[in-house]
Amino acid sequence: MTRKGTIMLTIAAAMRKSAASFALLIAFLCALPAQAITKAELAGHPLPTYPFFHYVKAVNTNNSVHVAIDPSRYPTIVGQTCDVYVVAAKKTIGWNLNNTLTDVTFGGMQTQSFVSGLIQSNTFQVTVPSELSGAAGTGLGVGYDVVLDCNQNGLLDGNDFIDGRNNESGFYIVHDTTTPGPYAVTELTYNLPAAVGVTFGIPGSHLAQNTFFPSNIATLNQLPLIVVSHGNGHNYQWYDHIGNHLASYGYIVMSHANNTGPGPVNASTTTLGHTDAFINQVAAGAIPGGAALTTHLDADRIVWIGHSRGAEGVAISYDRMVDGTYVPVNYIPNDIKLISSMLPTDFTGTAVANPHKANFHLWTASGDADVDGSAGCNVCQTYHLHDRAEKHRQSTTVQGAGHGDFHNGGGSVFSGPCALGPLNTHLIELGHFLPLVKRYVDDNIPSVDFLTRQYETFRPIGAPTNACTVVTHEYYDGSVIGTVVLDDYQSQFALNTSSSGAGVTFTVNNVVEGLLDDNNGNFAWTTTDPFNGATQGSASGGVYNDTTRGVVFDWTGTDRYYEWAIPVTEQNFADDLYLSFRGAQGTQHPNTVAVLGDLTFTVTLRDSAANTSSINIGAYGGGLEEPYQRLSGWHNEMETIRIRLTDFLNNNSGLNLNNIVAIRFNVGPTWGSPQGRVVIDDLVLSNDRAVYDGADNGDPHIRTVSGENYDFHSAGEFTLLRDGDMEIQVRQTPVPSAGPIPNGHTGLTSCVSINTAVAARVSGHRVTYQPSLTGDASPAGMQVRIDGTLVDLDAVPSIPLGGGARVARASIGGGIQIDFADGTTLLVVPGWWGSHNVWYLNLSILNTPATEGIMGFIPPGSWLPTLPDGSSMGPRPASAATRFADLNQKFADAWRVTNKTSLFDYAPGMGTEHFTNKAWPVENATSCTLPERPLVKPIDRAVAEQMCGQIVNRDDRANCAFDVALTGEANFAKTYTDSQTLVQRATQTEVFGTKQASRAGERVDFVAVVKNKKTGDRIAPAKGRDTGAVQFTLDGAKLGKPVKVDAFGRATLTTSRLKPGKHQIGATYVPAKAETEFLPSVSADTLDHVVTEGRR
Amino acid sequence: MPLHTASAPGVLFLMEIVMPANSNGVPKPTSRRLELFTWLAAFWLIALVVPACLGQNAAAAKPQAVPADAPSQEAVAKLRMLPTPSGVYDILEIHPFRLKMGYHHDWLESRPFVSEGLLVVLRVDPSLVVPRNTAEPVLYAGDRTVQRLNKGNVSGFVIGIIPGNIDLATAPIWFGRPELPERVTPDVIVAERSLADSVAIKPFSPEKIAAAQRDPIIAGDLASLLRGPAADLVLKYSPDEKDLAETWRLPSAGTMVPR
Repeated sequence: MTRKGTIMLTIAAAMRKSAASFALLIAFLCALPAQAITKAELAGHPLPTYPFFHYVKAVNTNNSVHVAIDPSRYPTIVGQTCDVYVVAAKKTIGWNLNNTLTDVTFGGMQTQSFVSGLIQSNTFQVTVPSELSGAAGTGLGVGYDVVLDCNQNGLLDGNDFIDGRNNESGFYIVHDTTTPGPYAVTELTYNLPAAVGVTFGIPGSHLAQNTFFPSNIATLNQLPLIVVSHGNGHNYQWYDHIGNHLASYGYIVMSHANNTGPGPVNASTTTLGHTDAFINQVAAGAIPGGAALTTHLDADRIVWIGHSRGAEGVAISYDRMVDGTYVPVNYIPNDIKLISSMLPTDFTGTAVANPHKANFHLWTASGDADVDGSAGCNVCQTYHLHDRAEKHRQSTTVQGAGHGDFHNGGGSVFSGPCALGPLNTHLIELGHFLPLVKRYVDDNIPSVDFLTRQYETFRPIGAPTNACTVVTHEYYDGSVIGTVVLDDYQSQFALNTSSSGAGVTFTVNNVVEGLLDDNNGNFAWTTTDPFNGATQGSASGGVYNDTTRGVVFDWTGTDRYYEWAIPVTEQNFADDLYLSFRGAQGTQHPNTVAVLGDLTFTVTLRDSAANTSSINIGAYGGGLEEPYQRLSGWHNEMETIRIRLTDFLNNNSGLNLNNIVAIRFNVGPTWGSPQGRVVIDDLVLSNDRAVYDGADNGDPHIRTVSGENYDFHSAGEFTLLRDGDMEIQVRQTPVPSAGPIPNGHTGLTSCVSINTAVAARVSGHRVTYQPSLTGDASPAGMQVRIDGTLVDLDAVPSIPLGGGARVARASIGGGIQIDFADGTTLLVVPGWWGSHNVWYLNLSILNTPATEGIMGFIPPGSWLPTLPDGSSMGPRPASAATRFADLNQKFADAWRVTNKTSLFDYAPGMGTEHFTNKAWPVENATSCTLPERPLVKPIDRAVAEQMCGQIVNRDDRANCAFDVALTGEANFAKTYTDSQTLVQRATQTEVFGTKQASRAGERVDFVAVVKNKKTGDRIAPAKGRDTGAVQFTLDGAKLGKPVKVDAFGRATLTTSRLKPGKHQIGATYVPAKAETEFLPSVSADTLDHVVTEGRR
Repeated sequence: MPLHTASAPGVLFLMEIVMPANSNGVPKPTSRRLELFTWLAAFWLIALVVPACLGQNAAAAKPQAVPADAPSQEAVAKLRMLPTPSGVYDILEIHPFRLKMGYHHDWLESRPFVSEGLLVVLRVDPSLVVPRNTAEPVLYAGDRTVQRLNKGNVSGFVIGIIPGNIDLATAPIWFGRPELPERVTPDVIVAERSLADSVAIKPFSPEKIAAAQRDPIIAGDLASLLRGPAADLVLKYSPDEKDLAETWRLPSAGTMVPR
C-alpha cells in the first residue's frame, strides 16, 4: 500500500471513531511534487580493489578529482551520454534561483557515455592536481558540485544527477592546513589585575595571558575563543605556534598561566577563571592593547585546549560545570564547543576527569616519556579521558612524538624509535587543529575527512610522511539520530550476545570480552592478560571505575570469522551512511610480531536473502596500524575504520541494505593478514548527520539550533524553522506585561508577545495547532487540523502522515507532538492564561537537521540567524535604534510568512495580515498595555523564581521567572516544567516484525523497542527494576497481554494465531507505576503484516 | 657532567648532580653519583636481560622488531622512584612577609588562607625538581607544604613560599614521596615527616637560619610579592628562568565589567 493510502485508511478509521468530517479524505488527494533530479555521491578517488571507488568530501589541492557512478545502483544512467560538469557549489536556494551549469575545469565540461556493468567502467578523471582553487580564505576548502547533465541542455534539470546542492557541496578542494591563514596576527602578553583574579578565583601567581587575534579584527565579525591551558613545568608562552596559526584563520586564542603545580584540579580552576575573566576583560575593553577585541569576541563558541595536567584540567573544568560546583559568570557549558586534551594525565579518575557530553578530542604521543601510557600507571594513560566522553569523541595518536613536542618550549621528553621532533609534530598538530576546531565551532563539512580518513591516503598537505610517520584517528559520531550501536560490549558480557541483544558467533581463536585495560604492570602478552596493551580504562578501584570494554581474538594461518547477527529492530541499514568500528593490533602478541605491518581483514554484510558483499578494511588505504615498537611494548592504539554502506552495493552485489541480518569479519589468508591478534570495539552505524535542539518558550524566548538565546517579540506569523520541505511556522501575538523586559543578547528592552499558534508542513501535509480559525480562544482547548480538517487527538492519539511522520497527543501537558520524516520532533505545551483569555504555547524542537528560520543557526559573525536568502545579519550594531530596526523590521519582515507561504488555517476572509502588527513592539516603550486587555498584576520576582526553581536549564529558569513575574501569570511556570519533563522523559516506541508475511498458524515475533526521544538511547532499566510494558495491537485492538520491557529496551511478542489477511501491528509503551524516568508513547507507523491461508 | 645520552632519554633526570654535602641528611655527592651509575647499569641490565629471559616476550623472539633505543618501561618506572625522603642542600635566604590581602595556599588539600609566611631560597637536588606531569616529590617544611614558585631543575635553586608562622630552626625541609600537593592532608604530612625522621633529615641549625634571615616584606598581595621580591630572587638565583620573573612583572589589564 502506498504511504498516502495508509494515511487515508488511518484517518478514515480515526474519523469513524470520532465522527468527524468526511472532507478530510479529500484533503489527502494532493500529491507531493515528484523529484526528478537525483542526488548522488559522485566525486572521489578510484581504488585498485573493491569497492573500486572512494567517495570523499575533501580533496587536497595537490590531488586530482574523479567522478564515478555505479550503474547497478543507478540503472537509469546506463546507455546515457551526459555532460559532466564541475561547478562552483551552490546551495539549494542558489540552484533554485539559477540552474545554469558553468564548468570551472580547464577544458570545460566533458561528455561521457555511461555503460552497464562495473563502476570502474563509469569512472572518469575530471581534474588534474592543482587545477581547482582551494583558496578558501579562513575556510578549509572551496566547495564544488558535480553534475551529470544527462539531457545535455546546460541546465540542472530533468533527470540529471548532482553531488551537492544542499548545505553540503559535492566536494571541497582543501588547502594546506599546516600553513598560516590569511590574517596577520597581533600578539599581546599581559597580567590580569589581581582584583580580577580574585573575582574569578585565579591565584595571584598565575595572572598572565598570552593572546593572539587577527590584526584586522576591527573589520571582522565576532570571533570564537580558543583557550590554551599548559601543563606542569610548561609555560603559557609555549603555545604561540597554536596561537598564531589559529588566529591567522580568524580565531581569538588566549593561552594563560596555569596553576598546575598543586595538581589538575587547581589547574581547572585557572582554566575556568581565565576563560571567565578574559570574556569580562574583553567586554570592558581592559586588555592592554586589545581594545579592538571589545565587541568582536563570540563567547558562545569556546574551545578548550589543554596539555598534560592542563589537559586533564580542561576535562575537570567541564565536569565542575556539569556538577554545578563551578558556575561561570560569562559562559555556560553549551558554549564549550570542543575540548582537546593533549597528552592528559588522569589523577582524578572516572567521575572527575570526565568530558561528559562535551565534544572531545584527545592527542596521544606514543613516544611520550612523561605521561607515558605505561601499563602500571593509571595516571599516565591518556586514553581514559577519551573513553569517558559521551558525545562526539575522537583521538589522534602520533607515533614518534614526545611529551614536549606539542609545545614549543624545547625538550621532546621522548622515548622510542622514529623520533618526529617538534617541527614535524607541530605540522601534524597544526594541520589537524584547524579542521578539528572548524568541525565543532563552525560545523565545517570537509573537516571530518581530516579526522576520519587513514593518514596514509589523506592528511594535511604539509604534514610529514615517511615510513616512520604513523598517525591514527579514532572517531565516534555521537549524533543522536542515526548512530546505532550494534555492539559496544558494555551491557552484555556473554561471548555469544552483542550489546544490542543479538547473537554473536565465531570461529576465531581465544575470544575474550573484557575491560580495555592491561591487567598487570607490563604490556607483555600472556593468556592470563588477554587485554595486554589496552589502556582505555581502569577499574582498579579508588577513583578509577571505568567500564569501557571490547573483545580480543586471534587467528593463525587459517580462515576464520567473527560474526554479529543484527537484531530485527536494526536491520534497515539504508538510512545510515557508515559502518564504523574501532580496533587495534594486539601489542606483543606472537601473531602481531610475526607479521609486522598494517593488519587487514574483510568485512562482509549479509542480507536476509543470503546475498553478501565484502570489503577489505585496507581497501581505502592502511588498515590497523603496526604497534609502536617501544622496548617492552606499548599501548594498543585504537583507530576507527569507517566503510560507506553504499560501497557494499557496487558492481551489482545484490545486497539489500534494507534487510541486513549479519555483519561478519572474515579473517585469515583469504581475507587479509594471514595471522593476527586484534582488539575490537564500538561496532556502530552512523550517518555523520548533525542534528540540533531548540526551544521557543514564554513571551518568546528563543533558543536557536546553534544554542544562542535571544528574545523576539514582533507580532505576526513567522517561519520558526525549515529544511527543504519541512517547515514550522509560529504565530506571535502581543500581550500586556508589567513593563518592558531586557534581553542580554539583543541589548534591547521590549514589550512582549506570546506564541498563540503553530503550523507545520509534515511529509507534504499541513498540520495546524490553533485556538480557532479566527484566533479567538476558548478554555475548552486548542484545535488540531490536518490539511484543514479538524481532527480529534483524544479519539485517535497518533495519526501517521507517512515516512515515519505523525501527529500525536503529547504524553503530558495536553499539547501535541509532531514527528517529522527527517527525525525532527516538535513538542508543544499549551497554557491557558485565563485573565487574558488566551492560549500560549511553549515549543521544544528535538533532533532537527533544520537550520533556517528565526530559530535557525546563527552563523559566525552574525548576531541573529541567517536571513531567508542566506545572507548574514552581521555583527550586533552598537546603536540600540539600529538593533531595534534590524531585529523588528529587517529580520522580522524577512521571516514573515505571506498568504502564499502560510501554513495556518484561517476563517473565510482572513489571512496572515489579520495576525500581523508591525507596530509591535513599540520602540523605547515605557509601559506595555494593550487596548481592551486588562492590566497585569506582576508577581514578586522572588516568588516567581521559587515557582520556576525546578527548571534545570539556567536560561530557561531565568526566562520562566521573568515571564511569571512580568505577566503575573503563575501558569507559565507549569508550562515550563511540563516542557522540561517532555524533553527529558518523552519516549518513542518502534515496532518491528521478524518477517513481513506469514502463513496462518506460523509463529511470528513482533518486537517493540522503546527509546528516549531526545537521546535515542533505548531505555535500559537497572537490574531488577520494572520499567514498564508494551501493549501490542492488531488492527487497533489489543494483541495479547502487555509484554515487559527487557534489559535492551525491547518487548517481544510471539504469536501464531494471526488470521489470514492484511494486518497492522502497533505498540504502546506504558511505564510501570513507579516509573518516573520515562513517559508513555505509541508507535508512529503501524507495521504491515500479511497472513496467507494454510500452514507450512 | 650530564649522565644521560641521547639514546637514553629516560634518564634525563639524572644529570648535573655535583653538590656539596651538608649535615641536613643529604647523601654525599660522590656516593650519590656512584649510586646513580649503579641504577643506570641496573636499568640497562633489566632492559637487556629480562626480555631475553621471558620466553613469551615478543621483543626477545623477534629482536629486529625491537629497536634498542630506549629503556624498558620497567626501567623508566623505576627511574620515577626518585630517592625520597630527601633533604634540601641549603637555605640561602629567608624573607618573612606579610600581605595586606591574603590568598589561599593551593598546595594543600585544605587550601588554608595565607596572609603571612616566609619567602625562601633553597638549594636542592635538581633531579628532584625536574618538572613532570605525573606526580613529583612534594616539598615539605615542618607541618606544611612549600609552594614552589619556580622550577629550579637547571639552577638547582628553588624559590618558595612557606605559608604562615614557622620556626625553621625546628622544622625540617625535605622532599617527600611523589604526590599532588592539592591532595596532601595532615595525615599525609605526618606520614612523610615520619619517613623523613627515619632517614635523619634534620632542621637547619639555628645559626644557619639566622644567617639566612632577611628584612621583613610587606606587600599588597601575592601578585605584588611575586612582582617585586620574588622576581628579584628568581633573577638572582635562577636566571635561566628570567621569563618567569618577567611574566610576574608584565603590565596589568584594567577595569572590571560589573558582574
